[in-house]
Amino acid sequence: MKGRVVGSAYSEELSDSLEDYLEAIYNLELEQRVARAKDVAAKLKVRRSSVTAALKTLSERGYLDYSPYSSILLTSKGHEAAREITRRHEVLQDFLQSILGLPADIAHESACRMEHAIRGPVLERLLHFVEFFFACPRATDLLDEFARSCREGFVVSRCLKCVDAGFERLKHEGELVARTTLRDLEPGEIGIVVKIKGDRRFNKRIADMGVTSGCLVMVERVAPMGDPMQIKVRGYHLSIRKDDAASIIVQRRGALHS
Amino acid sequence: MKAGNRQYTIALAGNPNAGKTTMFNNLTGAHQHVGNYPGVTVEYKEGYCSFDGMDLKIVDLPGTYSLTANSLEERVARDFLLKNKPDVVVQVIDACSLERGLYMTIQLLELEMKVVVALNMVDLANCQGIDIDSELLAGLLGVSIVETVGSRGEGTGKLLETVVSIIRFPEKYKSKKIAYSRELGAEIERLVSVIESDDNSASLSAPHGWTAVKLLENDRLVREQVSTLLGGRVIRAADEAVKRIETVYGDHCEILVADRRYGFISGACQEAVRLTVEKRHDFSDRLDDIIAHRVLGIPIFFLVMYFVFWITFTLGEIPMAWIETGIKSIAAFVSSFWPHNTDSVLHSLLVEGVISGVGGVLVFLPNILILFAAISILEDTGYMARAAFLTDWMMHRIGLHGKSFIPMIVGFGCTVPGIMATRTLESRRDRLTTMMILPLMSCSARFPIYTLIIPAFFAPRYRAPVLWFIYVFGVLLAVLLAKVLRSTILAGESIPFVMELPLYRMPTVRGTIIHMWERGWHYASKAGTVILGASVLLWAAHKYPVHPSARTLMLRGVEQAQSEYLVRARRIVNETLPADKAGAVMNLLGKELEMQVAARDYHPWEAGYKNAEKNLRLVQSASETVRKFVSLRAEIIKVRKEISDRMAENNTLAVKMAETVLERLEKDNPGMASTVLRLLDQADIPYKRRLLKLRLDYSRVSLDYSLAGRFGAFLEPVLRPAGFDRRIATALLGAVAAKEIFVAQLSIVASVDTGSESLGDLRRWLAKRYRPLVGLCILLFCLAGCPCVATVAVTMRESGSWKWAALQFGGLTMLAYFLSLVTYQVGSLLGY
Repeated sequence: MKGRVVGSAYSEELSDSLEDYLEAIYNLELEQRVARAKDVAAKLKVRRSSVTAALKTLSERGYLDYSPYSSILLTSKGHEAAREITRRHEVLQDFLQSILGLPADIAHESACRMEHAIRGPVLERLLHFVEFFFACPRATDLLDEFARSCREGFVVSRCLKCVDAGFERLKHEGELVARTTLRDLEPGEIGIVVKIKGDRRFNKRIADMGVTSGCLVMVERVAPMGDPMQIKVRGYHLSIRKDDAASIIVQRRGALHS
Repeated sequence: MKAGNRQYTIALAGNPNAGKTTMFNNLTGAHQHVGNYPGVTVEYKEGYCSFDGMDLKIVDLPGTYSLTANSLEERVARDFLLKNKPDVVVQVIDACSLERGLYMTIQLLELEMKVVVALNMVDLANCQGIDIDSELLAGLLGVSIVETVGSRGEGTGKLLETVVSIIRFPEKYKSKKIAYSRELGAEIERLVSVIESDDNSASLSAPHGWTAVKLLENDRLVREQVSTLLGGRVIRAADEAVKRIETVYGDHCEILVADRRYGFISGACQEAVRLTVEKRHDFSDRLDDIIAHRVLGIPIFFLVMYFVFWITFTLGEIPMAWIETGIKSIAAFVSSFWPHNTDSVLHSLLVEGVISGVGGVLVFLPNILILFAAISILEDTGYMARAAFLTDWMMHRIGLHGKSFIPMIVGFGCTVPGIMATRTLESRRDRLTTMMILPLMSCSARFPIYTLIIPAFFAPRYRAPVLWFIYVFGVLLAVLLAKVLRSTILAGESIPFVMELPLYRMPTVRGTIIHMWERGWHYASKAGTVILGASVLLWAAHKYPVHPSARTLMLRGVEQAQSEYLVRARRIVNETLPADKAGAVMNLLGKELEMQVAARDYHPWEAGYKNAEKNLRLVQSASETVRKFVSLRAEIIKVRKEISDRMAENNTLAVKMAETVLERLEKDNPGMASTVLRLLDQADIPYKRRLLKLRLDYSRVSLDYSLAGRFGAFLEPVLRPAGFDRRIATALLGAVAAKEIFVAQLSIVASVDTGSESLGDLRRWLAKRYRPLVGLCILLFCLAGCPCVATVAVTMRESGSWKWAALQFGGLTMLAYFLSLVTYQVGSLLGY
């Protein structure tokens, strides 16, 4: 989903409150481009003096450049640490809000507290779970049903219907994803010819030229006005009009970028 | 054919771009003969060579990817193989696209041909990291394979050796059969046994196994042949077999057959071909990244086209000027055999008919040679396919192929080479459509017409837009006409535009020259004769019948003008000069007239001319008076010319200076100067004007009296509603010989002199006589109607039938008539 799995080495040396400061400064930077001590105090609802002390500590540890009465600048180390903290927050909030179905404000508040407690492997696993869940085509069905059971209690009889519906859609979408026509491949993409479904004359001609089912075709480029397209098959190049390419069904096989 | 030594026939087959033509040139050298296959436009080439005491006739089959009879070319190739049964088939395969080449090999083997594969361009394949074990491959397929490099002539000897040894020891040649899959193979066998059980099976010219496969492939021609020759049982069995196979595999039978063939080939290649380096972007691919680039591609294309256009027409002008000079001097030489003022029919036929007709043929030759050298290079390098790739979107919309674009661009220079350039088109329908619409591209010969007509009728600020409109309108008409043709007489599904983009290669000088020579010769011998014949006919139509008295009338008129001149001159001289001087000057003027007559009647080397010249010179140097008169006259004429030239330039200062010179001349030579001035103004000028009028009237009367003039008059009632009278009609008839003749012909019917390089008089004549609407109609008619003789002749030769030429001429003329008619009528209604 969001972000990549990165080791969380920075968080080890920071206390919960310092992490909060870092996160606040990061968010202020995103919102207003610069963060000032008084804005930080206002955002975290703390006194100016404690902000100054925290900034000093963070600055000493190399997370930011700070001198009194000027704006605060995060160092690259600070940026990375702040992004990591923010990511943790987002993963948690996503989990609470989208999967457990809690309201946004509760999810935010809980995430703020949980983000300091959840670390390393647990966080990564949770992240993976969220990602997996959203990648799975059945997620919407499951979430709908889960939300329903949260409201109305768990009813076993609904399960069979849910499975059937999910199965149907899966079949449909699976086909859509895997099979397309040669016309729809982008330059650089490779496909395997599954079937040629033009008229007999076209079929024969295209087969004579070496485009037969099972062979690999790569779209090399499209002519300046969008038609025709140049494809590579069996080691040589062919020019084919898009209308004709539409009757060659292929299975996407990734891309080769030069 | 079999006189003494038996001649063996070798067919040369192969994919387009496999290097077949180069191989053909290598094998036969200059001993080739180009023609068309009977009844079709597909070109037929044969050549001869002898090797090891054996005479071989080599027939170049059209380049095809398959022998399916999808296209005319494939059918021609297949029919040749089936009917003529060549002793050996040499198949040229591009080693870089081995699999597709072998696809055709299999079909040749199914036809039970003895195949020798020339594995061409192995050097390129090696560079690309393709390593072919040709011995192993030969063993797997059961054919002989010889590695060649056509561009360097490598392997040609070995190839001939192999061919000859197969002819000598046919028993050693053993081919293999492709193993189709189990179901397919079983069906084929079953079908073969059904065919064999038929009583008439011997009447099939093709092998039964091949016929069976073709029946499964739903080959229309084979089905027709089988159903006429054999009982219906075979067709029924074939239909059932197709149905069974299609239900088992759920795919069209013809695809399955192709699949299996490629499967078999892949199997063989897996064993015999090794990719030594990983195939990556090679040179050709990188070149394509630029040439077929989304943004750069089209500008580069237009640059290339501009260059081709430039060398064809700009560079071509130089040899064209040589040809024109040559023709002129030949005409002068031939004329010297006749008296100078002859009206001999033979003289006129030779000089005005034949020699100028030959000139009319030859004048296109430089364009054609250069253009075809360029096209040959574009094709051999592989750029032509890219050009088609880039422009196909445009041509596709009007139902044509991308390759039609280049002939159409060439058409803006000249229609004749444009039509010849349609040879690059593979489909006959595309070729014919392109030929039919090509005359609508305004060729350069139409430009003089436009430059005459447009300034005559349109105010300066409208001139450029009108010219632009005519060019664009021609293109629009062509687009429209192409659409109409494609949906009527040239209808039919277009062949899917699946075109190979061959690898870029260096063209060979030899190949380019042979190609250029071939086209030039083809044009001169085939189209040239027709053009020549037509020019002579047109000459006759403009010459005959001869007006019975026009010539005598003109000669009498000239005599009368001369005596009038002398009378006038005498009066002036007598009035201005003393008697003795007057006598001398009059003597001179008389001798000058005699000289004029002599120059008209005699060649410079004849006694009559020489005598007159001698007499004139004697008189000129006879007395001081005459000498002075001659030099003063020369000076005054020079100064007057200076004055009129500078006046034309609006150079008042220079005019003033010249006038002072003139005044001084008058002051210095009081009597003589006024004599000269009065003679020039009151005798010379009226005399010259009179002579010009006589000459113009003579031309006009003769033309009006001739067949062409009468035909023009005859057409007047038809052309009147389109705004043309008999004069324009006659001029338009002249334009049939060549478009630019329109201007000359119009000046004759208008009796207006255009000799002095300026078209002003003719324009004034037009503007006075006709409305601008008529001018527009003339432009439209010249744009669309009456393609010139050369165009029609080339169309006739290239389409292989006079019908297409007639359709082109008639159709376009009708279109032009209709356009002018509508324009004139609507314009008149609107009050223009």
